[in-house]
Amino acid sequence: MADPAFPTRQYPYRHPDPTAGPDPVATAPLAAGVLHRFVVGVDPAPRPATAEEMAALQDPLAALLRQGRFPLTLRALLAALDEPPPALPVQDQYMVGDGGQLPWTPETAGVSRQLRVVVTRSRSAGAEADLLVSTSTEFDSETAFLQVIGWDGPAGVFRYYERRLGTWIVAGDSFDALAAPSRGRGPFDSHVNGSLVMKELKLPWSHWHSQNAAIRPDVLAPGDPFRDDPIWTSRRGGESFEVEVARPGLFRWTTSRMNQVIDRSGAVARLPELMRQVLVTTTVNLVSTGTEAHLVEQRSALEIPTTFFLDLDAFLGPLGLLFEPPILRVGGPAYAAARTALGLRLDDGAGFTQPGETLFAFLVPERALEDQVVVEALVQRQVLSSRLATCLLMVDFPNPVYSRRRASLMAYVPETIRAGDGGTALDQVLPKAIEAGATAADGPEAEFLGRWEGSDEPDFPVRVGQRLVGFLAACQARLDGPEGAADLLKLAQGRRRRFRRSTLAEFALTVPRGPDDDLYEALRLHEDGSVS
Amino acid sequence: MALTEFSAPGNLTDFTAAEAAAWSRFLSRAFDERRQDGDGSAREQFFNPLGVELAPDAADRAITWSAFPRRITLSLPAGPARWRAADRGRDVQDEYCEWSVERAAGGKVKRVTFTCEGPEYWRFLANSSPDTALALYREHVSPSVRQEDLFTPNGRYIERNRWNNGTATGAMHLIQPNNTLLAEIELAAAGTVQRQRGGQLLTTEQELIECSLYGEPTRNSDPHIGGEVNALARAGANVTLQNPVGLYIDGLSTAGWSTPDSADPQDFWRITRGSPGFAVRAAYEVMGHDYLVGDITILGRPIEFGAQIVEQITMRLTGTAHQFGQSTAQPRACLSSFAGAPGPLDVTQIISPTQPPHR
Repeated sequence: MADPAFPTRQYPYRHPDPTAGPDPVATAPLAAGVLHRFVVGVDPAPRPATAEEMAALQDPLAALLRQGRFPLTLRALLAALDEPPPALPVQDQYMVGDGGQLPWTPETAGVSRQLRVVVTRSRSAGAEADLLVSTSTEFDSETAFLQVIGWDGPAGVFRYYERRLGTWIVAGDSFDALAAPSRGRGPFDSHVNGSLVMKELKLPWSHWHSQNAAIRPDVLAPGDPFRDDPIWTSRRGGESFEVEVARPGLFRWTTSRMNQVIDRSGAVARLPELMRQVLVTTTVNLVSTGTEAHLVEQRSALEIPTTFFLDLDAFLGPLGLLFEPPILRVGGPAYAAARTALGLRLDDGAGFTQPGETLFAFLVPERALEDQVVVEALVQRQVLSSRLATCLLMVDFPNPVYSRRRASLMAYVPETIRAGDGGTALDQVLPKAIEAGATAADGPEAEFLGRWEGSDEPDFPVRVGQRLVGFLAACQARLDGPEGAADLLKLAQGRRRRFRRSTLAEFALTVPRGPDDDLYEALRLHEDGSVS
Repeated sequence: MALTEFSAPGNLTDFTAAEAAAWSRFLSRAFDERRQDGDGSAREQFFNPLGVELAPDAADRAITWSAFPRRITLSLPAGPARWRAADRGRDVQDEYCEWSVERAAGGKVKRVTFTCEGPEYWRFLANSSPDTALALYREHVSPSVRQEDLFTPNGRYIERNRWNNGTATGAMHLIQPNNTLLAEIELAAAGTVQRQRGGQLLTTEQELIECSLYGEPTRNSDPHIGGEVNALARAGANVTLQNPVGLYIDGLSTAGWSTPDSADPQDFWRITRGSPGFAVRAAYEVMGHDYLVGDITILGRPIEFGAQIVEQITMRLTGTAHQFGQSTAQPRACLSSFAGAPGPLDVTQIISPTQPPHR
């Protein structure tokens, strides 16, 4: 039975084909005290894990289960972890809730705030989290969703588990996320590339309890015992989760993945899976301004995250370009007026609506960190030259997410390549393949080739930087114009609409919506700063 | 048991008995004066803990924040540009944590020192016990520090002296203008005033700081401290700061760090001043291994800036609340202008235990 409070939260076991009948595990009980395996897409149904499969699992939860210890609630799980093995004595807890800023009132009592708790356990203070738990606030429930990710050091993967139907089910590991038939299914609908997910990764960590916005006791109903629970009173902020858990976790998996797909000779296996994270928006993070949305009207200007306009983190990060991006601003009153005109609101789909936005203004998708770290790793490992990466990411650069033009270049990526010598091998192969496939004068191939030509000249990085600064200046000029704020928000709504269609969008209150969002989804930003 | 005397920040033991008593009087005076709001009304839910028997429901609330400057985080992308900007000078290090980077020949980072000691403490100590201050500088910053580096010819302590004025020659205590102990007390005190606008109780950090006109809205720390304290006030509690009153380094995360020989990167983090749990000074330096801090990587990138470490540091102060649900204080309208917090008190004028505090 699905957790009624989080109908989308449990791993989606149901076959995507609606004619396939009911979810085979929706009600069928499983044998208690037996680890089951159900990698959706691979296994037709949950089945007991074999002894060999059990022995191969080297993550902390597996260590617990192998001893025949099957804790079925959060409290039981944490108590079991207090008795090693595994030795993970250090615990931290975090809270996130897409409705976590809605105070409880009799009128909002029925709104599902989607409060989730994340508990991490580590070997020692300051060390990586080797086990992570995601659950609801029902710590004694055997039916509320309860999921675990464990780091398996010998295998170099995160492994995904869910307690469901009275026992634990292993749902796959990081590599299962990367390829069919399990890609995008089960836990990998949100853990798209096999790693940890913190959608709202950066300051101000929207929806997370953080140093910028607390999830306060007044979101809980009067008398809710949770407010006296140590997990509530000692909850840490999203700023700590970003630095201590999310970023190190992504780096850990990416490093392991690279070590496993690049052999000693430099041969790179599974190259398209890697390049997919350069060229395709495999997933997104959500970033916002640092300004509370209800205060925007009082601001003379609102600073917009630059990553909305271009892939700044890549260009100034692993690609090593040197330019000083201006901060783009839009007038506060104009922004507020456009927000009202577009009819933006929070809507839980179950009767609760509230005009405006999430707590922080302008929460929008940006290129995901898990894609960025792959770009950085490919450059560091000399699979991809920063020159080639720059030229690829300059294709349709005003649209850093959801660019079909850039994604179409995946057709030219070879199955394998040799790393080394600064990425020369791919430099020689990929541009030629794109050139051979170029047909339309205004196609992405031609756009890439226009960037590639002359990119070996010493001043290439400077020219790119100048071009990007010029683009940002054009965007600022548009923002200063009469339709600037409206165009900005229409473009944002289009990207939010696209996000809401992804499996990462689990909750109705994550981003605001408007009545005409469908019309805006096709909008694109252009180098002259215009939107059409 | 009621508190009878404020301890020194971090339970430091630099003071003589007379100095310790004078310091306590200084803090007590600061607490008393900050019971008055910017419009002259009383901050009813803030109290001076001296002599107060806490109620059985008393609870400490740790308030934590990132040591890395928020304004730089918002204006620059993650990476070298951001780190370089934060390492550029002490005046941008505005989260109650300042640092200095020592480099080996060749430029590799050798040691990074961090401080959150308030300038008031040092103003007081150095003018009261110059020799003690000099010895501490020599111990923690450089053996080369001379008396004339720290004091004017007439013996007055120079807070921004050559050993405490930049990010390469040492950091003994806070000097960024907003990084003061009195600012901490003011934030805690002002945060206790419940606010309303148009009949609506204010609860978010930004609206509260703009309404109460305390602190700097663009920092991590100030809105957060005020917001957390205000949440205690909305719960009907009376609030003060935990003794020893101070700002503290809460911890360093080394998740994602890698050392050349797989040594635990936590081994190189040392608390150099302050009692356990109340760290006011720390250093990151490799000792006993044949490599430098600059050979350690964070998420694959070598440590080239002190700011890379600062991104992993958490700061803390602790509020104490009691008598939950008992306050009858009502939410007030926003301040239209700020008359200014009292002070700053001149700590150099309270050295003598018989001399009354001077304003």
